[in-house]
Amino acid sequence: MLDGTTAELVAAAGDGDSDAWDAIVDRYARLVWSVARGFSLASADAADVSQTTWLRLVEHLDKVREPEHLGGWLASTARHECLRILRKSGREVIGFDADLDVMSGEPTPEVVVLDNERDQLLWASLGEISQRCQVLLRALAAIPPPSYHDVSSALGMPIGSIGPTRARCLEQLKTRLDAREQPGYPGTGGG
Amino acid sequence: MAEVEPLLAELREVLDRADPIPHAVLAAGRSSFVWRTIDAELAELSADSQLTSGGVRSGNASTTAGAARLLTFEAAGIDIEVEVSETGSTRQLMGQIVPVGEARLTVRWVGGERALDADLAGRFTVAGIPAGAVSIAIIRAGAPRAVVTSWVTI
Repeated sequence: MLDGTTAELVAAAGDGDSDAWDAIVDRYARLVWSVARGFSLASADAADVSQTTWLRLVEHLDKVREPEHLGGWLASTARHECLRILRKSGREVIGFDADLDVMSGEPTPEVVVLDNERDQLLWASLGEISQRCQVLLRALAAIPPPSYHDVSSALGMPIGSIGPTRARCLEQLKTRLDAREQPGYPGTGGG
Repeated sequence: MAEVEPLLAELREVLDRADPIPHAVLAAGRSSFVWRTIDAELAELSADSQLTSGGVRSGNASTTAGAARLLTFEAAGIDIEVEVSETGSTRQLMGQIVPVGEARLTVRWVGGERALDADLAGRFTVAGIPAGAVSIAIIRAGAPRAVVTSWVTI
């Protein structure tokens, strides 16, 4: 059952099978988390988004219309919760729907678990690309990798734009990374 | 799907180490299953002043904090309106059930619940609810099924 299709797991969880529920959570929890963190939510807020998203699914288990697209439903639910939290805190995501080139302005905190310099630079570069690109790349990098359908729900953008947007976002990330890898980049070596 | 560019694979590995999902978040997702309600009718959130109010770009924490948030939940034959006001990390809920009538309510949150009654006019008030996800279960006199509101983070 743990390897069942999402539709099978949803049906089983709806019948009260908690193992099936756990398998659903294990399959999509990282996608939900990546959406919340992609919106630069603090860990506590991202935890709230996750909690609310899963509670919403619990109450909707019998009403999931397209269980094969459950990941998209979860990602979309998480996105709406993120936007609500950002709006409440006055951190409206200006330009989220408009322009890929609007930078997020939220610095990525330094992370000590990355011992490799290249990894540290990549992590820092991620915080410098647009908010929408951060959500997109984090969602695409979730484990297990989501479908384009699920990613399009995470961003609220058409499925046909995911491919081109993904290419542009990776290009943005590469540009920032290349700049940071240049000798003499401000802050290089000193954090 | 096109082949994964090496940079994305690199990013996946970095994120897995630098920003993994906390165990507590995963555990909370799993334990959400205990909140499954059978035979209760779901009242969906149909309006949320926090999502529809204007002045978005000029909004900031100092003007939005303290303002009451109005939530409307709807199911067949019943509306529940709830005004949420914040005091530190707790919330006060003032509600109105329509159609009016006596009802027994249970405010539920992760980690606890509180029972209270709505008065003859369908009004209720409860304070000291912890911030976070919350749902209200409602049993009305003479109604065949309980109603539960969608979970919302307050």
